[in-house]
Amino acid sequence: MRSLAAITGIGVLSPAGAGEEALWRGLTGGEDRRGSWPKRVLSGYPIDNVVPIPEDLWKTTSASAAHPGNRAASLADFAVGQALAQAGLPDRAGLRVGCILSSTTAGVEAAEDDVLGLRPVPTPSDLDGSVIVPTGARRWTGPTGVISTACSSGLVAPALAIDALAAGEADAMVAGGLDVLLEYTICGFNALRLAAGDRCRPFAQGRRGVVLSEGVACFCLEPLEAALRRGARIRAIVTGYGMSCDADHVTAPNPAGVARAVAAALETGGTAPGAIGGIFAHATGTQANDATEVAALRTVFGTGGLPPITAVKSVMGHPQAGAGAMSLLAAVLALENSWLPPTAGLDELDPALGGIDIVTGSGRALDKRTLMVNAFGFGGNNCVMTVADLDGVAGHRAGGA
Amino acid sequence: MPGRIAIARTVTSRPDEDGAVTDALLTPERRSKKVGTLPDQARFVLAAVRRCLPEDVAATPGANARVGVSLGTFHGSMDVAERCLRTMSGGGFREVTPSWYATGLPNATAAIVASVHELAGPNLTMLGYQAGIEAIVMACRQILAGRATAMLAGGFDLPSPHFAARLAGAAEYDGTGTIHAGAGLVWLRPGDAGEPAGATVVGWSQGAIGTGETDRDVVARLIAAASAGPPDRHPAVHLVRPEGGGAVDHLAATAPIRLVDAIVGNGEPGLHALVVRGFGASAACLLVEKAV
Repeated sequence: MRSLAAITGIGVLSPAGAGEEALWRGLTGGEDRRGSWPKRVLSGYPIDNVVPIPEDLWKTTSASAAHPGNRAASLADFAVGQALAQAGLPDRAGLRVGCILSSTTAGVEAAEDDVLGLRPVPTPSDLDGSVIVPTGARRWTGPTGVISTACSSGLVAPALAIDALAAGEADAMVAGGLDVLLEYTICGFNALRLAAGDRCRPFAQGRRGVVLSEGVACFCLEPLEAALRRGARIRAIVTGYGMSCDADHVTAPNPAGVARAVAAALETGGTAPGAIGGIFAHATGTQANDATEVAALRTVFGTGGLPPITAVKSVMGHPQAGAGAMSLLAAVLALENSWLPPTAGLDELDPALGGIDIVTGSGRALDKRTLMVNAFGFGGNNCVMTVADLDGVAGHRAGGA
Repeated sequence: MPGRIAIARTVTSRPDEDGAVTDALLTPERRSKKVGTLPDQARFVLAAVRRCLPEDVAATPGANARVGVSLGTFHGSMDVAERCLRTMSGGGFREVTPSWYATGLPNATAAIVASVHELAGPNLTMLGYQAGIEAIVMACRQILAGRATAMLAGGFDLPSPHFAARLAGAAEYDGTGTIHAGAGLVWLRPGDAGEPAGATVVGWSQGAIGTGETDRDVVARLIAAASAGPPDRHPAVHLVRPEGGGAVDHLAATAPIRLVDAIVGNGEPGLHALVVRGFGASAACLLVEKAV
């Protein structure tokens, strides 16, 4: 029998602002938030075009002061606190609660500052990626850790947290993903010729690639039955997930590997393809990723056609390990609002992708209660999750998936 | 207890006393058809992996869809960040190699191992000093959840000279630490080790160290959590943490190397608890039954 995990708390800080309302306004409003990297002038790179968290926002949220010089830890502290508070578990008395976060840049901000001589010699803790799991007054009594599977990390962390719940090792878990903009990331995407100089335009003809960004999204996860028993507000339910490794090229995605993750998510959730009301695609806006993702989805969904697809990165950019978590949060908000947010900036669909249904304009009403969320990373790390509301889960249980 | 996972094979890799990572510690291949140029860190781990993989797995590439890799690293992507920034301040962007970033990410080594040996099961990478043991715990969970039939797991690090010196001079090592490269890997499969002198993982726990908790408190709490209650036997305790005093430290490989050497290799028969606490508040515990 599959185990259902309820999302009972959410924490988020994105380029659109602090909190889920700001994220939803940003996703549905489609505002172009691009700019140059605010931390230092980057004159040596072909492209300096990112979607940063505004410096004013860093200064005005509690995230700014928590860990000077370690913005990854600050983001984690902020979002984990929000998620626990919203779940009504701030003190967690008597419960075994753990925390699994994900990042590709944790600890590296101090390393960069050290190499450039911008700060005093870092301590080992400054360089340790695992210190982003918040401590202080909180004492985690369930599993903790920081996972790094490149840009799939933000979905892999909640998936591993659900594993810990299913194994009976915790009563509740906080999990999510985050990353901050760093110079080596900007350097890396420039060197790979994957950095776009214009807006991120997933699925568009002539799309030019990734617009890097930063942010965090975290979730409080509990076994559904336990969450219902304690009267928690059920924001959404993770019904299934699939992970796969391409075991192939380090940067080029592999359709077979991606398809395995998509199929596993449907299978573990007991979800029929026709029950999916929309797909929050990984959709980085590179030629290879978008084409591979569509091909993989077609492999699994077959001749019945693909559900409507939308792409969060068209507005929020690519926050790397934060990407999957931010897409999952967007899916939760879509279920609650019965509305699929649009893919911004899609002036002309790439005809090579075939007849796919991309949500554009101001968005679209959602007519089914289960959504799919995709996150893929360098190294061929893939994770796909299905998420539903209580009506969607009731439909599954009645065999009406 | 969450289950029983056999430690079927083990391997360690580390330099001689001078700390130099010689060619003998690296896989001779400098390129992979699918990956391109292999970074030294990947070559270092691949050489150890080659000695750890069972022959049937190594001999049947393409048949390992449910065999996974789970590794832990402290150094993460510090090396590629350092290389990118030093190159930018030296020769400039033209001298940055395109493959550096993707092959220098924290998960790149586990991904390259999967690519070279076609291990398409769960592929995980943990961050931190304690990440090698956390990676073994994650691997055990994947096996118990039925997502993998076997997992290659452990820790590795090959820090750059700059950051090795930074760490060696830190207060945690009394300013006189010795930081060397290292890898400690285990091959995990469901069930008991079976063979004489084998070892079996019989429990695990993870958690954060609370304010004011002593090593003794942490060890007791994690062992109780790993045993799913008060342990019915007192295990032999092996505590691993960063410390000075002349000991060579291998960062995220330190605890897996201790597991391989002091428990699986040379441990007395009986129950052993390996507890590792890192630079931050995270700690992990592995309960291992060493067969008679």
